[in-house]
Amino acid sequence: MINSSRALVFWALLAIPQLGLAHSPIEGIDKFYSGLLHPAFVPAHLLLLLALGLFIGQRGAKDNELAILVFSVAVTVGLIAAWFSIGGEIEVLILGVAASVGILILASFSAGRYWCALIAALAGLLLGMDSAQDTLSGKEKFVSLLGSGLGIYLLFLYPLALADTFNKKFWQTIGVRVFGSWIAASSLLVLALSYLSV
Amino acid sequence: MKHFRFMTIGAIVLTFAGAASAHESAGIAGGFISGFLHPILGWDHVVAMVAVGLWGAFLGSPAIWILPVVFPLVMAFGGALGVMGVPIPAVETGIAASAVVLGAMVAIAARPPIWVAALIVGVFAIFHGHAHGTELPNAASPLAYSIGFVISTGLLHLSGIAFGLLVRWPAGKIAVRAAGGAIALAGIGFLTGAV
Repeated sequence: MINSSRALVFWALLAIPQLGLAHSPIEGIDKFYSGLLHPAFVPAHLLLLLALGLFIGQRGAKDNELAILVFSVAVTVGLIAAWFSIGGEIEVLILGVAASVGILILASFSAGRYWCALIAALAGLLLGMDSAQDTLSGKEKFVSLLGSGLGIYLLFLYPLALADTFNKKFWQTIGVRVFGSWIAASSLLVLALSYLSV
Repeated sequence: MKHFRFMTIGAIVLTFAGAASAHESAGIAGGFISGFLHPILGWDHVVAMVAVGLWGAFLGSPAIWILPVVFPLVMAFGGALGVMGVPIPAVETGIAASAVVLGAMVAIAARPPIWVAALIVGVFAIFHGHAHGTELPNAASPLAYSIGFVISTGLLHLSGIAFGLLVRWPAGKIAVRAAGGAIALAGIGFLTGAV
């Protein structure tokens, strides 16, 4: 009887399997990793990074090394500002820049290298400033911001490399312009929603 | 004793209760998925989007990319009107009419100037955008929702373009025009409520 009860408990427990996660969820993971994933999990950041990468890649990475350098410096400055909690709710600004850059991609607007650098500086600064996670402080915040910096650079470099590599054939250049229109459309819609909730 | 054992088993089983979700989807992923599915789950949206791609491919360059680029931008404008609660009369009729007109353009092999084609597509994009936009404030993540439905719309255009590229062959041209005719008929069905 005891054995049958044990068997019953065993089968009852087997009947309620829980979800097995191959990767850690974002809550409870290491602060550096959480920071690294931050730009990928905030849609506004992701849109701006995609837009900026495609924008500079569309104009050639070699011709716009200055913009890439300026972006790196601006992100660092923005992250320092985030460390000191400078800046408030700037997601609307990020979306505004993403929409504008999306339209520039779509128009295939031939911006000079200094214009590209200026746009990269603005984008980098905004992304860095908006990377602080409210619940963190002290060493945890510092480590998280380091992760965010790395995440931002990586997510900027991927679309840049793609747009720079795939700009030889006509359909490839069109593909980049179509992506630009999608980024602009998504950003504009949420800007309208933000405007409504102000 | 027997009842005690069953109660023990019941108590153990109860400790494994899973989380109850009030909504089917939540957060960024949920917002993206619901936005992505919104155009796909409505036949009226699907056929009209495919017709945009078909017509673009039928007209050739530069319409093949200008029409699918104009559409999401103007759709965003329509969506913004929907988000802000600006009423547009007969949105559903406009969406159904888009299937009729765009399908008919492909069926009759209409070749208007590119700006006329863009204007026609743009006007109908406002109706489609408005329909999506009214759902936006209720989405789990509005930005993820809008990214989802813009990508989904773009992929529907792409499927239309892919089929429309058959116009390179004589038999393909007939198939593409027949598809346009079928879309127009479906649009008539939506308008009359038959579909």
